[in-house]
This record gives sequence, C-alpha cells and structure tokens, in this order.
Amino acid sequence: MHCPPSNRAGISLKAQHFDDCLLAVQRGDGPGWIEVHPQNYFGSGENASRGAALDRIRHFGEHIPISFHSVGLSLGSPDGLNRADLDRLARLCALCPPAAVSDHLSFSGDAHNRLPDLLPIAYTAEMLDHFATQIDIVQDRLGRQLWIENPARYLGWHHSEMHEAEFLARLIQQTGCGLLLDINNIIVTIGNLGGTWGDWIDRIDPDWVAEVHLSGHATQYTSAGTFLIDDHASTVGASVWDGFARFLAQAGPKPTIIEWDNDVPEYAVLIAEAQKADRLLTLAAAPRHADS
Amino acid sequence: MPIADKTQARMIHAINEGPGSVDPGLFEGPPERVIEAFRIHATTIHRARLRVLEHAFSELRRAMGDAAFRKLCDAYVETPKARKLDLNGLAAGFATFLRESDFKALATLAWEKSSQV
Repeated sequence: MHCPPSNRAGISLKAQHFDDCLLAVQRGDGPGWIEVHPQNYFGSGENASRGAALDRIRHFGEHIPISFHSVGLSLGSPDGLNRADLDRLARLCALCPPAAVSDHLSFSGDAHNRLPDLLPIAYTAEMLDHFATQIDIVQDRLGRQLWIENPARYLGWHHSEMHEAEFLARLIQQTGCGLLLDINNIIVTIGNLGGTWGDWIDRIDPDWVAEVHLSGHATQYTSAGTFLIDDHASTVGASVWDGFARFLAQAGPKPTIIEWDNDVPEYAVLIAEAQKADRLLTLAAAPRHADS
Repeated sequence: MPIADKTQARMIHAINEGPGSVDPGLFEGPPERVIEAFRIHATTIHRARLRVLEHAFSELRRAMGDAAFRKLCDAYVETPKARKLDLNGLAAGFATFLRESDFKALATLAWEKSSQV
C-alpha cells in the first residue's frame, strides 16, 4: 500500500459517502486518500453489515491509500492499553492492510470502566515511560510505526511537569512513533486552557509530523466561561486554517485529512473542504523565490 | 504508575458519579470551570453510548418511540456492567439487559440531572 500523499488532502470517510466517494475516485476527482475508524469494522467476520462495509473499504484500497484512525486503544490507561482492541486492530490490519495507523495521546478509562472519550493524561515523566511502553507494544504487534494525535483538552492536570509539545517530542524520541498533528485540537486546547496557538505550533519539529488533521469546533457559553468544543460538526474554522497555513510555511506540505464526524454534510461540502486544503498544500509545495 | 493510578481513577469516578465527586484541586483553573469541563466529557461519553444503541437497535427505537427508547438506554448505559464495555460490546450487552431487566433500573443520571438545574 502506498503512503498517504503529502500534496493531496483526504477525508475521514463516512458510510453515507461510500457511493459518491468511490464514484469520484474512479472518475479521478476524489480525495487523495481516506481515513476510517477501524473500530467501526471490528467483528466484520460475524456481522454481515460490517463485513459488507469492510468489503467496500477494501475496494477503496485498490484505488487510494487508507488510514486507520483508532479511537479505542486507550494508550494512557494506567492499567495498560486495551488489549482486546489491539487484537481486533491487528486482525483488521491483516485483512485490509492500511497505509497508516494512528491513535491518541489520551486514555479512555480503565479495564473496569470503558469511557468512549479521549480523556487527558498528565504530562509527567512517569506517564511518559508508561505511554512509551504502550506504544512499543502496539508497534511490535502491528509491525509498523504508530502515529499519535495531540488531543483536544478541556482540563489540564495540576501535576503535569511539561508542555504537551515537549511530552510528544520525548515520546517520539523514545519510541520512534510519528505525530498526527491536529491543528483544531491545538486551537481548542489553547482556547480552553490558555496560551497561544502560534507558540504551540512553533514548538513542533516538522520532521516529527506524519499527518495533519483539520476540522471544525463549536463555541459553548456557560456560567463558568466560554469553552471551545471539539465536535467535528462544521466546516474548518478560520483560526484552524490560519494555524494550518502557519504550519505549512514552516514544514512544507504534509498528508492532511479533513474530519467531519457529526451532522455530516453532503459529500460535495466535505470534498470542498479537502479541495481548500489541497490549494494550501499546493502553495506550500511551490518553490519559493526570494524577492530581489 | 502510582500517581496516575490514583488521579485517573478519581477522574473516572467523578465522570461516573457526577459533579459532587469532582476534585477540582487535581486540575488547573477555577473549580466551576473544572466541573464544566467534566460535564463536557460526561456528555460526550453518554452521547457516544446512546448513538451506538440507536444505530444497533433502530427498529426497537422506532417501535418504542424516541423518548421511551432513550429512557431505557439511559438506564442501561449507567449500569456497572455497561460501563465495563467498550462501544463494540455495548450493543451486545443491551440485548442481554433487555432480556433480564424488569426496568426497575431507570436510575437517576447525576450528570444529566445536574445539567438541568
């Protein structure tokens, strides 16, 4: 399977877009690549509708690269990652070899409480060693590099010892994993916890970044102040495009995905967002001429 | 993982049990903001579980009507058994719950209740 292209944006593919997207791919004007949540295809051997959906995904795989963006490994759980999920992910990778596999810098409960959300971990030396061990387990099992996504946060642990970007840098050095840089998550985290997103982006070594995510967020007004919510339910916001442009200016083009998971629009709306990202990727790839 | 074991367990406990169980001292920022952030996580978790059941039991939902189906799902997803399941196991567990339940378990949902105050 080919690597995700750095000069073409892709989309997070939803079942309702299968037909439109496949038609566009066969026509030659589809997305550069697609990303799916592997958990939606687990148990495809026993579940007929999931089996059929997996067949569609494999069909896509004959034409364009597919990435598995996992949401269930729970790498930051103190009692260790979700081994059952890893087993299922490994089986799926064998059935339908993906171009890339990713998950999140977060935890989703423990063995007694499976919480379907990406909860924040504390950025401590203790957690760094633990998280690195979990990544090693996954990379050994899958026989490939894992890409880790920076999370959208609403809470910051008091006992954190380092900046999120520093934690990621150490993690990458220790494990050889890649970074899935989610620009929207940076904007959301900074909006909720303080700081400046430009400073966050500037801390990133472009060589760490294997993939970029772009998506929309919502603003929620409460008696405790304003929160930015990572809801993936709208077009990519202006501040996220600004952050993307800033990152591309430093790093050049990188494989990019548009995520839209809730209130999913028609295919044409989603692909228009990917085409907007394409234009920025093309600009970033163009040779720069010094003013004279 | 001595520190993370304890702190993350307290976070999980607070998400399961409601705002009265949050220890704002574990997090940066004013307590009311910490509690609001917990509400965001609790809502996300609850909605994710409901969405899975709505998708897997769409015919039951149609037959029962949205409100009755939602009540049943709310009761189920807050049971200790359901909390142990990831989203893939949740739907299978719901079928068992429906067979075994006498619907006495329409428990109060602390997070939802608190958000209505």
